[in-house]
Amino acid sequence: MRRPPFGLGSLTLLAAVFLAIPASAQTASVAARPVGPFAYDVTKETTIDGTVSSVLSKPAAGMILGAHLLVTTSSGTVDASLGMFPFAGKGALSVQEGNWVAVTGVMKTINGKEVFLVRTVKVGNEIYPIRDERGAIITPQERESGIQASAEKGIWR
Amino acid sequence: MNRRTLWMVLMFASIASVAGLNGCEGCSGTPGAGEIKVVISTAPPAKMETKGTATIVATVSNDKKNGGVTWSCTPVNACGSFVPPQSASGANVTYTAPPAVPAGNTVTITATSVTNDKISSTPVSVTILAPSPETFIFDLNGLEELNQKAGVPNFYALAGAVTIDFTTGAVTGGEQDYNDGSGVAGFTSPQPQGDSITGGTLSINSNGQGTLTLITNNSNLGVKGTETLGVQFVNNKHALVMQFDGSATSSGSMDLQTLTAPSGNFSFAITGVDKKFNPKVAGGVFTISGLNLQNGTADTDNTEAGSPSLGNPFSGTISAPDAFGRGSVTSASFGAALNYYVVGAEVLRLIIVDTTDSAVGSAYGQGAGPFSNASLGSSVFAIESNCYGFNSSGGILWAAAGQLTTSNTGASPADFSAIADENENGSLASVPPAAASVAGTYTIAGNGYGSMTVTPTALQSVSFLGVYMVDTKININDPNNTATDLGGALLVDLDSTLDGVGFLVPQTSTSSAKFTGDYAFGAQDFTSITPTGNGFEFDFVGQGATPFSSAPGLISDPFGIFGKTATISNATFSMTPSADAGNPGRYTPSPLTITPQPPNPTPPPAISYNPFELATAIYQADGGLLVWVDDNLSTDNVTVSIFGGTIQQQTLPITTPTIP
Repeated sequence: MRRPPFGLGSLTLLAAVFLAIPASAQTASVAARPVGPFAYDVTKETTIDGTVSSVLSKPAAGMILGAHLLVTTSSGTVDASLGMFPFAGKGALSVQEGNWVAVTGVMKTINGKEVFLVRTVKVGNEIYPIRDERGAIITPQERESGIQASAEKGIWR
Repeated sequence: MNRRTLWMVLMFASIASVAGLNGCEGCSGTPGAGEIKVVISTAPPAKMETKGTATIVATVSNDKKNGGVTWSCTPVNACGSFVPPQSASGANVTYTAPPAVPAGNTVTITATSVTNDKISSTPVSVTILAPSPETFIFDLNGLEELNQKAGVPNFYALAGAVTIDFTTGAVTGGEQDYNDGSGVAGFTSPQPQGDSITGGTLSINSNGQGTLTLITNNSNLGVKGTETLGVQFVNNKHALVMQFDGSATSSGSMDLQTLTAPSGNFSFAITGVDKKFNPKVAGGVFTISGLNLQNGTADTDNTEAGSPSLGNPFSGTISAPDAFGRGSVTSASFGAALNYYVVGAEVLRLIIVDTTDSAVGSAYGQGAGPFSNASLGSSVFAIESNCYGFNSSGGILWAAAGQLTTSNTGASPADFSAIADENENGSLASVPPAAASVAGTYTIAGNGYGSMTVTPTALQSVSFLGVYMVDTKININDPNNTATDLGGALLVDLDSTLDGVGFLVPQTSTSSAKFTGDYAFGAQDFTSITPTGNGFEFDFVGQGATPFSSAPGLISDPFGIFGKTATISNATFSMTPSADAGNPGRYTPSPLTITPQPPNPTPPPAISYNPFELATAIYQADGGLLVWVDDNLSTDNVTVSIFGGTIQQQTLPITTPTIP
C-alpha cells in the first residue's frame, strides 16, 4: 500500500516546525483571550425585545460612552449601548421612541450597572448591524464604503 | 650719599622691581614673574549666533588677593551679557551673545583683574551671526473635523519638517504628510512628494507658548491650506504641539532636527486605523543597514482578525532622506506605505501614507544592546488608545499610567509589580484616590523585543503589552535631551479588546521635592459626543510653576465641548499636586480645573464656556518628567472623559535653539 506523502508523523513534524517560534517571538495565547468589562463573548448573546422609550445620541448620567436606546421590556428597562455614531452615514440606524425593537447582544455589568452591548437592532423588518461578532463597532466609514476584509498581504493588512 | 651708595640703591631698586618685591600688585607694562596676569583660558567660539550661549573662563595668576576678574565687552549695550559678571580665576561663566547682530558683526570680550583694574586679558573677538533657520520635526494624531464623508469625523495623522528662522519667526520651508485614511482626494498628501510648506510664522512668548502657522500647497487642509499648531515649548529644542485651527484636533511633539542618515537597530510603535476605521497598532524592532531594512519583527493588534498577530518577520528598503530628512520605506511584508522623518541619528517619526488607512508613530535607536530582562527596572509608564479606540472589539477609549518594579530578572519570565490608574470609557481600574495593584510577568529578548503579561482583570481589559527597548542614551519624550529620563521602552497594547501605544521610562526619583519649578504640560482628551456636534476630542497644552494656579494654556476644541470657539487661547489650568504617602512617586492632586477664559475677564466673554473639572493621577519618573491620566468616574454626561499626557520640566526662557 502506497503511503500518503504526509503521514501522521510528518504532520506532527510539520506542525512542530511551524509552531516552533523564534526565541524572541511573543506568544498570543494570553492576548487572544478577551478580558475586562467590555469584552464581547458572542456565545453569551441573547435577544431581548420591547418598546423604545428613549433614543439617546449621547450618554445620560452614569452611562458608558456613545449612543444608547432605553428599551422597555416585560422585565424592566434595558440600557442598550450602540457605540459611537450609529445614527451617522449610509445605512445608519433609524429608530424612534415608541418603535418595537428586538436587540441582540451581550449583557455586561460596567461601573456597577447593567448595560446591554448591542450587536444588531431589528426595527420592523429591518436589521441594523451595530457590532460584529467580536464586538467591534461597524463604523460609518465601513457602512459608507462597504469595505470588506482586506485581501492584501502584510503585517499591517 | 656718595656716588657708590647711590649706584647701589638704584641697582637694588631695579632688581626689586623686576623680582616683584616692591609690593606692586601687578604693574602694567612688561609682565614680570610676580605681576598679575589675566588670560581668557576658555574662549567663546569665533562665531556665534544671536542669543547663543557659550562657557568662558578667565585664569588669573600672581594675584595674592584672588580677586578674580570682571567681564566686559564692546560695543557697550549691544555685545551680550555674562553670568556671573564677575568670576573667580578658573570659574565657568556663561556668555550670552546679543539678541541682535551688532554694528560690524563683531563683539570684543575682555576680562579685567578685580585687584588691579589696569590689567586686562588680551581681548577676544566673536563674530555674531543671525541664526540659521532651524528645522523641526513634528508629528500628531487626533480627530479631524473637516472631511466628514461618512457623516462622522475621521482619525488623522500628520508628520512633517518645518524650517524656522528664529530671528523673525518666519517659516522658510518644509514638507509634510497628512493622512486621514478616508480615501477622499486631498486628504492623503500626494506621494511621493507630500505637501510643501511654503511659509508661515512661529509666534511664542518667553514661556514658549504660542502658535505656529504652516502655509501648505494643499488647500484641502487646515483653513484653506494653512494649518495652525498650538505650541508649548519645553525647552529650545522640544515642544508639545496640537492642531489649533478648528479643522482638526490632535496632540503630538515637535523636536529640533539633526539631519543624519538613519542606521542601526531600532524599536518602533505606531497607532492608527485600518480600512474599516477600526483602531490598529503595531510595534516591534528592525535594523537599518545602508538602505536596507532587515531583521524586522512586528506585532499588530488587529480588530478585524479578533486577536493580535505576533512575531511577524518583515524587511524592505528605505530611500535616503531628502534635505528635510524625509524618506520612504518600502516593505511588502509590512504591507503599508510608510514615510519617515529624521529627528536625529536614533529617532525617526513614521507615518503611513496609504489612502485607505492611516497611522503615525516613532522609531528609536537601540544603541549597542544587547538587552535582557535585567534591562527593565523601576519604571513609570503611560499608554493611551487613539481617538478611534471606540471601534475596537471592546469599544474602548482608554488611558493608563503607573509605576512598576521588577524582580526575578534572572529567570524567564521575570516578574513585575505595579500600581496604576486606568480609565476605560469612564470605568476605572480602582476607585479614586486609590491606585490599582497590578502584577505580572515579562520577557525581553536580546534584540530588545519583549512582552508583558498583566494579571487578568487587575487593570480591567489590559492584559498583554508588547515591550520594545530603546537605547539607554535616548529620552523618548525629548530626543534632544541627553541628560535626563534616558532609556526605557515603547509599549503597544496587544489585547483583543483594546489598542494603544505608549512608553515606559526609568523611575529615578520619587522625591516630591523634585516636582517643583516650571513645567509644560499637555493631554489628549476623549469625552462624550457633544450636543453641538459629533466629535469627542479636545486637546490642550499649558505651562506654569507648581502648584499650578491659573497656569496659562491653549485648548483645541473644534467640536465645541467647552463652547462655540474652536481655539481657546486664554484658558487657565489649576491643580495642586498632593503626594500619595503610601505610594512615593504617585500624586493624587486636587482636581484639574480647566477654565476656558481668565477669571473675571474684562470685558466679559461673549460666549458662554463650560469649565471642566477632572480628577487625575500623576506618576513621577523624576523631576524632569511626569505622566498623568484622567481618573474621572463616569458620573454624568459632561465628565465622561479619558485623557493621557505628560508634564515636562521647562528650561526658561525659551529663546532660540542653541548651536549644536
